[in-house]
Amino acid sequence: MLTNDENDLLQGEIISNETINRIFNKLENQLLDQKEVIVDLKEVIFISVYFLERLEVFLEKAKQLDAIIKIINVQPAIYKVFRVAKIKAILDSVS
Amino acid sequence: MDYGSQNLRENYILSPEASQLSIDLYSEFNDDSCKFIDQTLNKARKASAVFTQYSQEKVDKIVYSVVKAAINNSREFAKLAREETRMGLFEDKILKNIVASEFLYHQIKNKKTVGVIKEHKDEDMVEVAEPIGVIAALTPVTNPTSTVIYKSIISLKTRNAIVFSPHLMSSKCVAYTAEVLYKAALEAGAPEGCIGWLKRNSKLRKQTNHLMHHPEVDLVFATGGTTMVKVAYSSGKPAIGVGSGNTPVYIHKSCDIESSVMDICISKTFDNGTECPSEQTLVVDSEIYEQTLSEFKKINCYICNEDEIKKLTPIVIDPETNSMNYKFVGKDAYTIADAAGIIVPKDTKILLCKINSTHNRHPLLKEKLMPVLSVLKADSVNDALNKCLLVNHSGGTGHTAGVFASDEDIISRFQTLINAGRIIVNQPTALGGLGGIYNNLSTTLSFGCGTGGGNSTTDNVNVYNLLNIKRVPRRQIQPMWFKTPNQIYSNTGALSTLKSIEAKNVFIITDTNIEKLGIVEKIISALPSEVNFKVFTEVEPEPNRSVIDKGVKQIGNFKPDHFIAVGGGSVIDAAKAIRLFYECPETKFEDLAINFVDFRKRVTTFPSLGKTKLIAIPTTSGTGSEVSPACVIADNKNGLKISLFDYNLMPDIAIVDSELVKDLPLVPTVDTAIDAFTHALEAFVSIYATDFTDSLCLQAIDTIHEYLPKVVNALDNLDIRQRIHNAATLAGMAFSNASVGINHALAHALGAKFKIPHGRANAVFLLSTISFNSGIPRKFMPFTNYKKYIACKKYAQIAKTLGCIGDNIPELIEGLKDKIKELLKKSELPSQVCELGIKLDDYLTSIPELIEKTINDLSLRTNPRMPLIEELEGIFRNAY
Repeated sequence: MLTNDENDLLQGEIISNETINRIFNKLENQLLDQKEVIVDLKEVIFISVYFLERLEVFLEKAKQLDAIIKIINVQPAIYKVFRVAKIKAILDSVS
Repeated sequence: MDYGSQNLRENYILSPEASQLSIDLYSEFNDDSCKFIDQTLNKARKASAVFTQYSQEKVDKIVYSVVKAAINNSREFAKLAREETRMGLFEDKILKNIVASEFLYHQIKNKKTVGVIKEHKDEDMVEVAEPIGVIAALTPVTNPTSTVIYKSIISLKTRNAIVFSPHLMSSKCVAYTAEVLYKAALEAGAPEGCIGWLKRNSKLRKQTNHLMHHPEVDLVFATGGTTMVKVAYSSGKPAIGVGSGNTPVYIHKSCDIESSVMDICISKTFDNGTECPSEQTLVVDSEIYEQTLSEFKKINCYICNEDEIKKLTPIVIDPETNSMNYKFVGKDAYTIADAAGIIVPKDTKILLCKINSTHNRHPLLKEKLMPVLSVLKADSVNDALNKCLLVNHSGGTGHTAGVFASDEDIISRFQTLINAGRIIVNQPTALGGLGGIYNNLSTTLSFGCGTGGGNSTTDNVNVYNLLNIKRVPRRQIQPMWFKTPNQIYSNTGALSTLKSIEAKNVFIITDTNIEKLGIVEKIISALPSEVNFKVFTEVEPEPNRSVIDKGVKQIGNFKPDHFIAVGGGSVIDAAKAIRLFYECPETKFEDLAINFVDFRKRVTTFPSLGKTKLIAIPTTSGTGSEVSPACVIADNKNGLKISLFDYNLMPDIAIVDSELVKDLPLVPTVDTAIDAFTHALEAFVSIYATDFTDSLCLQAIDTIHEYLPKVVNALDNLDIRQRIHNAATLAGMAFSNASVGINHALAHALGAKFKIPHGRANAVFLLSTISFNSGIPRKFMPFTNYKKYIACKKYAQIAKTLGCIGDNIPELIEGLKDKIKELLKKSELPSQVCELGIKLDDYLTSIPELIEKTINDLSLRTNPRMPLIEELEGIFRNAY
């Protein structure tokens, strides 16, 4: 799980590339020592194209490292973005 | 901010290098010419996904920013387009860009394209917008930058991502325009990848094909030539493909010639005629022909002579392809004339070619996107309209047509005959077709041509064409009525009310039995002495059409103001029909007999009655015909029984007097009473049941249950007779509003096949239909007002009314069935088919036929449970 600090980042409208980089840099670091990473999107109400791209890359990296990623508490509006984007890796990770 | 800086422009014009901003994979063409399309569309896909989160406010901010950029750069875009395509006029291309931005924005700025976009209050329905997704947009060489502006704006307004594939001859200006607009969109918060484009390269055609077939593309939006549009439609994707036209313009003698000629000149010279809605052939009334040509001459148009037309034709229409010569598309009149070896003044606006009227296939009657106009002289309005049709159907169906006339009849005839998505009246067709300048058409650069042009729409393609519109209808509850005769007299001796009727001529309808019983005499005695009357006694059981015709004929010149029907159901039914065909002799029986599922939506419009009044006096206690809106007439010729149903048929007055049934023998007494009992039972569980019908049903059921066994042993007891008589009328009122159900459908089939009296036929199915309706249906009967399956609860309610005791619904229903068995037994009525004297073998053999009849019976439509064929078979078998 992300720490409280990163959880604070995972909320509201995530549109700043800087914020997105911080989130995914941290998540990618977790891949180094964790076999399972949970991405809790409970408080996220808007994501950008860059967020989607970073998430896709992150999932690709996790796959290479045999890590399991679980995307949880996805709001319907965000889930619709995932469905419309049709990115299989993301859809497979949503639980 | 100026998005169209000189540097950015040079990036495209002078250097092929990719911009940092663009989704530019120019350099990757060498390895894999289509890889960059995958990447562009991948980005567009993500953009379209992210776009789903955008509010109307955010979208409108983006659109505003893009429109602003388009307006600020309209000159730059025009210049690039002119330089690259060498078509049209710089000045007009600026105007096109302004139309595609400013004018378009004016039309769409307040339009809702997110969330609820339209409310239909009367229909209790809203429309909700859903973006299309990723659009592959093909742009034409004639309007490259304006098309990019227009398509980008309507795409962003509808939260779609768009990827442009330009015509090779305009690829640079398209890329430049797209990039400027994309940057403006991003600045305003649009998702990355929302606008993409292909750049000039040698494999552009292949890439365009790849783009149109790409799995990430949701819609192909093609504007251009016929071939390209066909390719778009054959891509296997949903497509909006809009292509070429051939605009005929009728100049009728009622027009203002000077004004018409100026409009045509504005239109045909606009961007040197590159607009596809522009005028192609003028059809001019002979009366104003010379004057019209003089007006053209006056404003520097050139009228070619025959020799010049011969020279001009191969320049305008390529003899090899037999279509317009692209070398001269968008060129000015002088250049074209020069190429043809015709000497004209340099400031010539249009070259007009008079085409011989007999030369229907003259090449110049085709589309010519250049300032060359064909002119046909018409000898009459019909000749003019035929010539316009000729042009219209020579490559112009579905696109655009024009008419100049002040005669509304001419405009009306023209718009009816000509097949065009936009018929422009007293306006220049090119600018009129664009919309928003001369009229309120949607501003567009894509003109739908409907099926005439091989397109899916005749719209001026606009924001609504780029949305999936979700209709959200709310459940509509039907108003439930309760209709009944105005007056019902319901006690022993009620017949005396006839004394007070205000009638002059009364036509009495009855049968010979009633006449023999002296009942007709009683009726006549009861009428005021001054009333004239005429009696028709030829009604037979199950009256047929010939009886109705006879009745009507017998009225002759009697001119009745009242009909009195005195008899059983057959007599009253016949009276309803005789009255109907007397009042409305033009009415066709076959039209009224058209079957229906929902009375409110029936095909037939029944005539209104009112010249006469119908007084129904029943002499049996069961059919309810004295208060019902139905009558059954046999069609012996076709071997059918036809039910007519309409509240216009309902009697105005019912007189329910037990004096008239006291001599009814036992068998018809119990037969008709059990029919009434079945009416009440079925109306109570009907999907059309209401509180009003329910109360009548319970009263009728309770009364018949109590008094039918009593009347069996006291046929001449008027008090008991009146109770049964009234109960039958109450049940009639109930089924007249709530209808009946499966029991009647089964009984109709059985009765018709084995000649079983209707009441008895009903009796033998009572137990099995209660069991059937009490079970959990395999199929429910759909009706908006019937929200819960409550048949079993309602049977239980009847059971309680009849005094049954039970701890639960099944127990109560069993109790009800026991009560009914007991009632049938006490009333000497059968409870099973075998008691009717029908042999088992005959019965089993007939079941398929019985099922066929039952399934087509209107009564089934209001039964709460929809029976399947196999279920009907089960019911028939169990009923034996």
